[in-house]
Amino acid sequence: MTSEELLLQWASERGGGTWSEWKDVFRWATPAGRPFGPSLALRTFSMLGHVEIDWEASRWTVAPPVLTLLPDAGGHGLLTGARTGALRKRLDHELDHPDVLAHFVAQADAPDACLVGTGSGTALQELADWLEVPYEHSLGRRLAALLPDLDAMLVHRRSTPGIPDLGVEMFDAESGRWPPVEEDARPGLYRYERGWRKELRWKDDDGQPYHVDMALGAWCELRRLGRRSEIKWEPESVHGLLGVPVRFPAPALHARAAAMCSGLAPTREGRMLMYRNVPEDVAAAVASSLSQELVLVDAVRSEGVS
Amino acid sequence: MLRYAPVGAQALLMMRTWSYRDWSTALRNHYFSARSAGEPVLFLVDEDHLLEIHPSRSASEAAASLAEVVRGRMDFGHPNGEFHRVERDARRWRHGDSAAPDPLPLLALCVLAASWMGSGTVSTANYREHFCGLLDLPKTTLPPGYGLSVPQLWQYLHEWLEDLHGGSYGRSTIVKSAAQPWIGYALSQTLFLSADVARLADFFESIELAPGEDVDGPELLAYFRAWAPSHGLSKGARYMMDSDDHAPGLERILSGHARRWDGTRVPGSGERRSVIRVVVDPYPRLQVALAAPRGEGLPESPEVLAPDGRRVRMSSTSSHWYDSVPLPVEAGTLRHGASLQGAGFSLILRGGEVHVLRLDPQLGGWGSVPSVLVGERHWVLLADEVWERVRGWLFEHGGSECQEDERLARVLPRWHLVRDVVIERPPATPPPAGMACLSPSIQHRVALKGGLPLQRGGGAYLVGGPPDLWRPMIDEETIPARLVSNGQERDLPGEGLHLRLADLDPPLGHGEHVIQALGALRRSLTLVPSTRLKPPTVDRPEHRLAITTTGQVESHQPPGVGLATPEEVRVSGARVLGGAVAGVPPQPVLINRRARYAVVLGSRPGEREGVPSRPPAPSWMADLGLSDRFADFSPSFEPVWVIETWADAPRRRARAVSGQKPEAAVDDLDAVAAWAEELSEIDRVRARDEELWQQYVAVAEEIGT
Repeated sequence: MTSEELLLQWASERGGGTWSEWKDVFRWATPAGRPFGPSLALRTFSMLGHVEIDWEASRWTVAPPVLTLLPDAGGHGLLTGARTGALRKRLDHELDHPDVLAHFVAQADAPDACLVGTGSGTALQELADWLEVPYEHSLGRRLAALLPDLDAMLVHRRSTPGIPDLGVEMFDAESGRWPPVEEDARPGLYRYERGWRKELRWKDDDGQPYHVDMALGAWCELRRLGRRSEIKWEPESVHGLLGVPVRFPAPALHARAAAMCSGLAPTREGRMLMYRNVPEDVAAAVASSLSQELVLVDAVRSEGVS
Repeated sequence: MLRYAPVGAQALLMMRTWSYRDWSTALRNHYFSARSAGEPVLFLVDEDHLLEIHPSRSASEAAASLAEVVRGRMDFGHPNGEFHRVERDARRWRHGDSAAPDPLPLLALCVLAASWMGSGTVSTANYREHFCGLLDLPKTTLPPGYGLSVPQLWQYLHEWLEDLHGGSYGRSTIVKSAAQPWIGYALSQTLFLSADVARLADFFESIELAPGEDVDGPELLAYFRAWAPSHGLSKGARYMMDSDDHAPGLERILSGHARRWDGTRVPGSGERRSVIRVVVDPYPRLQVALAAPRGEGLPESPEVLAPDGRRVRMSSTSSHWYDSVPLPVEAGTLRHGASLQGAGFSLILRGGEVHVLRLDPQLGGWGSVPSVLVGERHWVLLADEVWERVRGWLFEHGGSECQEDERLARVLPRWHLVRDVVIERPPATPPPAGMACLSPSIQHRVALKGGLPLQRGGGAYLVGGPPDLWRPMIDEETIPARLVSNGQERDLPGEGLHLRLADLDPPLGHGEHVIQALGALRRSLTLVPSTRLKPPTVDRPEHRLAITTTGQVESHQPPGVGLATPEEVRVSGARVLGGAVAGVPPQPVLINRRARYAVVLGSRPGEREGVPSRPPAPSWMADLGLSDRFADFSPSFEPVWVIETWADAPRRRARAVSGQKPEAAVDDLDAVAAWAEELSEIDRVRARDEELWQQYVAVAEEIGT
């Protein structure tokens, strides 16, 4: 069992917890030497529909289990949300439906994807009934239709300025790093030391600060800098690969809309995170909501070296 | 070796005139006064203390005087022993008769004799030599009745301190010795010297004992035994530490001083010692400063002696910190340390080639701490001399966020600052020599950390997820530990300060398990299997989206506080709830790829779409070894029936994908006719769809007529 699968089973037993507890368990469960930290792990779990995160309160909660049909995936469904050890055992050993087979696909840096192969058009609903979980279809498209744009995400985030007394850093979009600075008057994305965590503020050209998370702050900053060609899409035989830069993570709902098209965590290829099986319309919705123009490429993978 | 101190004329008048009561009073005032309330008191009567107590300022004169008054109370030849009278009086005294003579002078003489054993053997014979010598008695045997009375007198003193006065004159450190029942009491008061008591401040700092923290005596003793060997304790203290017989007494000493530890008090004295901290203030410009805490009892504006010999007056406008520290903030000061001596206190800056800092909002910056804590963010100051040796290790193990802050060069040349160092777990390679403070620990304690806890605070863990055992390294050796499970014991592997219990073979099964370490420490944990199919019910934060009437997303609130309005759309994990979501196509139907042809019908006659040729299966499915038996098809209406045409019989097969009953026809006669025609010549309908099928057939027939 991978450490991420173990983490998911634990989270599902607990139901929820604090950021500090998550870090402790992540540290325990994850082998040394992984460049993948607890924060990235929690965001990955969120994009795969397993948890919701309240960053303000530094708390996470496991999402309820849901069965969904993946788009153009040969009739395969995906079971996402909470998954305890007992539930997994039930799927592995007690599922006795002639038209349903559960596959657990191991992933790097993510819990196993539970893909459900079906032999009939109604099998997924029947499985959902047996598991007593809801069944949804077209999840990626549903979420894509609901993606808030940057301004919608900023509506409730107007804030007072950050407090720099304990130190402040400013995001450098070119390098992706956070060098310390000695003033925070200019527009940009800032990170303020608060002790137990760092708080982010994005300051627009009018000097209005907004309390943001890394994803929202990064895309706001890219828009402010006029960088609009960061998101790529490469067509495949069916749908395509959506590429999002590693250093500019997609906001939670946007990442989830893309990930729910395959049920798989994006893979890292060079400097890009690649989401599989993303329809062009979903890719376009993700890009436009982040004030980006979707770049159609023949080989997004080669972007990793550019 | 007896010592003398200068004696004044008036004092000479007091010499050799002390009575038994004078000695009782003096001993009580010196050892058992209100000053010692709550503090473990050692009745250490040695020459140094005699010099302080007796007005002769001569240890030999004092000893002679003490012996004289004790001898004066002995009942030589009494059938109940020669200390019968002392014991009888002490019994009354112990029960609160303040007029009754106490046994302190006799007990003091016992301790003095024990202290004179010095570097000789710890034996009754050695003790007897000195005790009888003091009383000018034959040295062949202890006085008759000694064994009956003296142990009882020690017990009375213990009860007087603890039971009668509840520790208000000090806490007893008197413990019965099984190995040496006659001399062990006196011996126990001489082993742990004042200098040893003063070293306890170093010990408490080393285990990062927080003021008010409750650690029991056996656990403290366990850590002390591990810490003490390389910290210059007296021979007597080492003897006490190595002897199980003296363990209870030592536990009392340790726990008593630990209870009074406030971070500055030097145990056993009125002296206070405060640690000056290095502080890096990052904003607006990086600065390095020193901060001296003004602990309880330290004066508000003391005069201190600086290392350069200057006398400087410090000030404090706050109750917690001095306003400034009169020491230069330069490379040499950080490297070598310094101290400021005041009256009854000292402020100490510990020097070194590395200073570990942790954010302290009270300080307004990053303040020095003894060592790295697991998983916490630190900044690290490194001297130039060690930079090349340590930087590689630090960047390898300090996490992905750590970076050098080169601004330090302009404020503190010959030092380097590395920010955001997070050491998540014990590194595979230990830090370079002399950098032990970079090795993460859990407050240098035996602790269980990590695992898959099923509740806050630990205790119960998921099977397969026991916590790790953390053990402090002492003198480069790991503390041994063993595991007890279901009555079975096994020694735990002993290398390194971090042991992963989840990797034990055989693995830990469900039930209770107990870790035992250092003889006194016990940590227990319970492993519980997973039985829950669904997560517990908790408040679930949701994304909230306000949607306009035209279907635009007007605002988004991330998961957090507040309840959604009925109009808002909520997203929790993969569920979308509430509101109206536009632009979502109907549920796709699955078309079997092996069918030659397929058509989809809706509930309204006329709703009919043929399925075009299916695209090949996505490559990502082939990568995962998933079958591509079906292909999606999304008609422009809510589908009810899928009718597939196969090469083999039964050729035309119908199945329902919805339970929707027939509805009104569309306004297109040709489409309606085509719809109705599809419902004829069906070779197979699933049994469970038969009833619905008949309803649709009836509609089709009606259309046909």
